Amino acid sequence: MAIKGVLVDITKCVGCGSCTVACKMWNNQNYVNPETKETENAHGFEAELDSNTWTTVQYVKAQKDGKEVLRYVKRQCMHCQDPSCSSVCFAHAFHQTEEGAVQYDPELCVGCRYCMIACPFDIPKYEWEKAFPSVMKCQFCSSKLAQGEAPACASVCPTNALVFGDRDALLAKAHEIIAAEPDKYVQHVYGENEVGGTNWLYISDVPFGDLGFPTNLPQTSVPSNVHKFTRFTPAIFIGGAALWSGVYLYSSRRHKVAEHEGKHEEEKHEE
Amino acid sequence: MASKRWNFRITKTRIVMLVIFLLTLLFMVWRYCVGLGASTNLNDAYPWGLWIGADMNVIALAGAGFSMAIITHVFHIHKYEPMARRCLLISFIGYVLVLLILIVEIGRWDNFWRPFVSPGIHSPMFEVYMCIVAYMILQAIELVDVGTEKVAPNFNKKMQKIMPVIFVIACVVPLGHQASLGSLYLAMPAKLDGIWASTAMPWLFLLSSFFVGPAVAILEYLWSSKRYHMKTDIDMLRGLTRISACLMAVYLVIKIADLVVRGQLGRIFEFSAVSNLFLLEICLLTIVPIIITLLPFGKTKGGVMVFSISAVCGLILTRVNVVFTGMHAHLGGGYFPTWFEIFSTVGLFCICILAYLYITENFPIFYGLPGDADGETELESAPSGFNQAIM
Ligand code: SF4
Ligand code: SF4
Ligand code: SF4
Repeated sequence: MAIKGVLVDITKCVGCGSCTVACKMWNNQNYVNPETKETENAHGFEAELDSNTWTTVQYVKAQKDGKEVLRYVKRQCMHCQDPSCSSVCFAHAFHQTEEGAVQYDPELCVGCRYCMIACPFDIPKYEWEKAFPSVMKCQFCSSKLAQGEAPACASVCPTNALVFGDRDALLAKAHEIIAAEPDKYVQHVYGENEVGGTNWLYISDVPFGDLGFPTNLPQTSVPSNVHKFTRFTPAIFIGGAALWSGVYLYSSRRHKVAEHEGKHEEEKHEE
Repeated sequence: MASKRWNFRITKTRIVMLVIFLLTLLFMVWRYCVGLGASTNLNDAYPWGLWIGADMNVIALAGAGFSMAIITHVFHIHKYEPMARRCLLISFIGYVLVLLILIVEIGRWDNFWRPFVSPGIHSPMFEVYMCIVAYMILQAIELVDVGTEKVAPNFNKKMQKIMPVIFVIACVVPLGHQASLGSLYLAMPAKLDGIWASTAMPWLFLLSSFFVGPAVAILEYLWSSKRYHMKTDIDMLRGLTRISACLMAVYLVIKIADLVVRGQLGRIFEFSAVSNLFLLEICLLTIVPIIITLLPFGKTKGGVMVFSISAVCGLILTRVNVVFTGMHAHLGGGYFPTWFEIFSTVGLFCICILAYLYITENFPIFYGLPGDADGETELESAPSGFNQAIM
């Protein structure tokens, strides 16, 4: 099964918020903030992801050719190819489906919230108001994906700003689009290499940094950098054990010899 | 002495500590009912707060058990043996404190066992968790060894067959979790400030927890000699500060080399809040203590005390700087702990202090201080000479 993705063309989004509604409907989420008890829109200037809102369309004021322009940025989990959230979870509560969707299983979660702080895009949110909370994030509508269907959000987009398909094909298409209109588009496909590549890809006519995307991300997978350390674990244990045993045997022998020679020893009990 | 009854001197301070702890238990019930949102200021932007900061510190300071064990059991410098014993105790109690705080901190405490059956082996957190559990078991065995020495000598003799192995393993396991704590933040290279975000972090965390161990041991020693009116052996403490200072110098060199290699050296002289906190950290943790050991002042009781306090404060600052200062630019200023977060941390700390006092007062084995040829009689009379004013 090929890895699926969505290509988001920022220039095509009109900020209608249909995708955010579709997401809530499909995932049975309500429109009332569980903490403030206020009805809230998942699109607009103030729109923020939370445990009850897995995607937002955020309105952002940006500069384009010396003029102020309004852009609408859909945010949700990027579905990283090598996801940090999954690699840092010590209860293995995340896994990737064959289609490349990063799934979370609340059954396994211990609630340490390491995934939240480790996600380079600050995506996972917590059910702070619950006594037995879970982490919440976009699941890439994995049950729909498994049936070969598009995710709820992409299937309702009226302007084709969200295009669902095989990631490889989408990436090629993204490069085609930006190359065809070099004056319009920023010559960068966001998500192609960020943290080693994400399955959601973005193209835009204003710089990604101005739209609130993190631009200081490593261009290689973060987990693989952490593994550079965790890989050492067996070496630390074996090396440590060898070193300490060596010193132990050497120094206890030296002590015994010293005792035999009748030299003064402070400790009377030797092993 | 075998017929001695358990006793626990009740003082005002102790009653206050007990009350704080009992209230904490009560509030914990409330926290389990209302969840973390209502009881803490943790939020989606700040998923980790005071509790995690406290845990990182307690684990680092509890490294005293492991560094003193290496010095006495591996290098066989036996004059530190009594100190190593008490460090074993405070370290074990420290790890208990870590677990107690975690039980309040984690969202799904009922799922604490999941990592054992569904291990996320690539997570540094997994290594921390497994090592701490393993280490606490080893420490418990060591405590049984210490405890049975006088009470059940026959049993103890049998234990001696396995103890060398236990000692060595117990000196290996903490290498894993002390270093892994540093690697927790390797996963946030784009969030943590460049002054700290380095692949050297695991090694720096490991090294610092190791050399601050003697400082913790010294403070405990000075405190208990005051409690029991015992004479202090400054020469011995001075030896410890020297061992520690050598490693501090190594740490300082690695830290500076690391900043140079990553092109961050200029950043520490920006004199912004962040860089100032870093300078303070490195001064307290290494520069001030090293200078003290070089001065004549370092040979005095005041000298070793300042040495230790500086090193401990420096260590606390290193961890706080990573958890808060270094993440501040990314996370923003949206977090300050609630009264409950602070109160529960204090309350759980109180019960650990009480446990320490209870154990040291009822198991004479812990305060047979070196240099006392008649340690036994000293032990018998110690509780009567106990200085109530101190605690
Ligand atoms: S964006 Fe964050 S939550 Fe989504 S897969 Fe990547 S690391 Fe995980
Ligand atoms: S909060 Fe849950 S899902 Fe996230 S890292 Fe911790 S155990 Fe894993
Ligand atoms: S993929 Fe599904 S879960 Fe994710 S934002 Fe779209 S509709 Fe919501």
